[in-house]
Amino acid sequence: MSASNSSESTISADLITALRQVIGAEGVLTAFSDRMVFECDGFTIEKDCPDVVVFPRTTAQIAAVVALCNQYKVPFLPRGAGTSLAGGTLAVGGGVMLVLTRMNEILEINLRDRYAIVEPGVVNIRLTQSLQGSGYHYAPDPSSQSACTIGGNVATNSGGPHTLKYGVTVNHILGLEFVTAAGEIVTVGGPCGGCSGLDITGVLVGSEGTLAIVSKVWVRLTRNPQGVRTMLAVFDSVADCTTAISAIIGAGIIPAALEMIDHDIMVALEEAFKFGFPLDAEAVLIIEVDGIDAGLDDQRDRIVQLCLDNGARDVQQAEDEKQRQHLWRARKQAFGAIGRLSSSLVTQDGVVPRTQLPYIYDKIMEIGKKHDIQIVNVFHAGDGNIHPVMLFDERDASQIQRVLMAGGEILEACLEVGGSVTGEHGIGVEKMHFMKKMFTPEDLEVMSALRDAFNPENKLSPDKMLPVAGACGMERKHPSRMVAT
Amino acid sequence: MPENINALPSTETIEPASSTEIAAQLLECYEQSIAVYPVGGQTSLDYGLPGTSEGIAVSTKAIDQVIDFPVRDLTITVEAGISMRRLADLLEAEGLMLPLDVPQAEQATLGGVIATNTNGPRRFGLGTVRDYVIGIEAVDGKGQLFHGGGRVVKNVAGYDFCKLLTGSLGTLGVITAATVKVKPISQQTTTVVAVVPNGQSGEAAIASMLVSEAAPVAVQWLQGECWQQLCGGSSNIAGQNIMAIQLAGTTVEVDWSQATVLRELKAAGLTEGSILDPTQQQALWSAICEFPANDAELVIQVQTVSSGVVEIIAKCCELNSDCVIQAAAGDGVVTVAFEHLPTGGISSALIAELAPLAARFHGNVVTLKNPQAVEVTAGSMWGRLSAPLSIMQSVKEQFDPRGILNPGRFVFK
Repeated sequence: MSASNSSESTISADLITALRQVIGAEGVLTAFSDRMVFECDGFTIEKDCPDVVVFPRTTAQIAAVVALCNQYKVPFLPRGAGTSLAGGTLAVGGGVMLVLTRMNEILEINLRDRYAIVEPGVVNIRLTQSLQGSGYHYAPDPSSQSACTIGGNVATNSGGPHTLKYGVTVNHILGLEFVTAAGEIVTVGGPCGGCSGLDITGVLVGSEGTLAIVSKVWVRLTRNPQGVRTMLAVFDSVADCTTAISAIIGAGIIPAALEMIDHDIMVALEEAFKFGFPLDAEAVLIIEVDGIDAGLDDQRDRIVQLCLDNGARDVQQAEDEKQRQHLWRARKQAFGAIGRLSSSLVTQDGVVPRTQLPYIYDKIMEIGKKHDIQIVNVFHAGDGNIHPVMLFDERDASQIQRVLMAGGEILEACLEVGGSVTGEHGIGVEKMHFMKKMFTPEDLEVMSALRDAFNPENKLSPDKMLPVAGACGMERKHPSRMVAT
Repeated sequence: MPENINALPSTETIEPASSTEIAAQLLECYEQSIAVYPVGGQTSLDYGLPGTSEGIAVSTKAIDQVIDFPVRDLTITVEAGISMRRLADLLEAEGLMLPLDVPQAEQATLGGVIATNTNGPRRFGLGTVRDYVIGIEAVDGKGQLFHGGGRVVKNVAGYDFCKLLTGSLGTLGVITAATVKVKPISQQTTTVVAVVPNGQSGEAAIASMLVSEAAPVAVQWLQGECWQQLCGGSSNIAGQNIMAIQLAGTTVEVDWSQATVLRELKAAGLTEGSILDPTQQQALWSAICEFPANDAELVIQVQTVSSGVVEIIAKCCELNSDCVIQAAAGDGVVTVAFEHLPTGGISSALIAELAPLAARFHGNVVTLKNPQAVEVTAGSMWGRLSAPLSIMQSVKEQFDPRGILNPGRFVFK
């Protein structure tokens, strides 16, 4: 156990005094009981408590905190709402955590030029809510959107159900203001995206907080579609459901969203939301098409036919906006509802080519059986992005071990068919050991070189994303890596 | 053997047969500090500053194979030297497209398109290069072959080299292969054109297209005699600015959206609204796509927010009344061809007059073509940079520590 997990902070009293001067005493947490809240994010298997937690309110304060961390040679990292699912905001080795949730102003909304400027702590859904009635919305809609922050979305390049048609976070980011690892304030891009030179905005999005601390974000706003049709297709077998998904994409139809939910999750959702899911079915598919109203009925009919041709028992259509919202609320809160099935859960985030969904589902269930771990599934099926959720009891060490083994094998299976180990959650600390399987040593060397360009001392969010040999005893301590082969 | 390329300070041009051979060649150049000028179809050699060191041109023309085309996954992985025409033909045979609208598609290669970040009119509705490249392979300035991304449409593992290399003009690596997302070809495409009588109605029309429920694929402002001929050449159009709106979808959707757009343009104050016949339509969009490659003495591109387009166009006409303009008005990308250099020369026209106006609209001015290399400086070529040069420079030093890749041609010192 590292020193930072003990109740005593190992950080110098001088640094704490200096941080209080910069932020104000009420924005600096040092008591263990206060800091403990920040010991992990949505990846609860690993915990590492920051020595100090600060809540900056301005970019200048972020820069000043970074300068102090450099002066006192302590690691530091940013955090949003902590909904990340791969340990991206784990304070590895302790240090200073900058929680950006108090920087939560929407600074500008410009409808004529279709952009907004927001602070990193703005909660994702608040931006879309504040655009209500304008005809625009912010397209990336991760399931955690009622809690997660746009700064965090930038760090992980978040997806969401509707990214199938509208693209992930990076497709909607026009510019960034950030504080470098050296404490400088820099702006890249802006309202009309990039000017000349390298796409620094593009490379910072998805860099998981390892290159810079984002302090302001220029986002693109998306025109609302004229019409929408939302359907629920019911299947008696998951194989039929995944085959139907492949048939829809293969037919050249790109819906706005295409989400699969399997039986066990349906049970939990039904208990929580009383939506009326058919509990005797093995899987349901939420299909949404949007666009020009005149063409939607035709699109819907083609999809319904494809589903029926591939074994759907029934395809229902959401009757009105209220029912549609109800269905989406159920889908987006699936992870919360799963809490009814188990005290602890780990969600995997693999991606396969979309035509490989039938194969990967069978493989997941086979792996679950082999390790005696219950696995339930929600898939962003249209993108081939799978979320097998493994249920376990974290008080039982052998279960943790089996969950990690099963998770590893599922991701291996994704790689075997040409996929990825993460579609939207990031590498964080959870999947670092997989980087060597996805990328060559040369690829990792170049990635490491890129990090050196921004974060040469590796004090900003150290020991994340890229495998680091022998860093801080991580290789020994890290539970995922202990089981990695 | 290919002929040597005169536009670059290269003593010879080599055509390696594989990415491994490119890596071996670059390793040799790295060890001996020899400059490397990566080339594909050589359609954009005028884009960029002149090279500053003598070296060799490394062509990707011989690496042009399809690596993987899982049609039903809507992705394709190809070597970088494949021509955009051949790629389009392969995709079209399966009812698919990569909607980037690149000039000189017979010659232009995918690698070159990524390196130059070349985009056309359909960027408004369908996005740009950075939205399509999901995997990349390249050789850096140390002769090291590296990859980023992968072959699946959603993937956040590792740093996004796809974004970093897009638009990097071959200065971070020689792109050797890429995986792109592709889209189904729309059942039908149609084009509505109308006359823009004045700036005020032009602005109203652009604003209305941004919010139109018809969801246009392209919103193009056209100024110059050549466009009037392409749009039918009737006496009502002569001497007028034109707005061309491209719509796509199923027959039912297109029928509805063209009626809607005609109505919306009229409400904005545009006149003479009409729908082009299929032959006219094809000729017009092909001309719009090829326009940046025209042989004018100077071709520039102004990037602003969309609300800046009308003022930018007015300013360009003030600088030179017979310039020809094609603007992706919804995106604020204004491409201007000057038949003759603007009065007062490039520095006083571009730098003193146009650049500050573009900056007021958050944008900049880039030179696409200046074949005579008149008054060429980093400032006149690239305008304002997206990020501080120091940040870009430190990235460059990691990828190309000896500065052998395209020396002098891009923004770097």
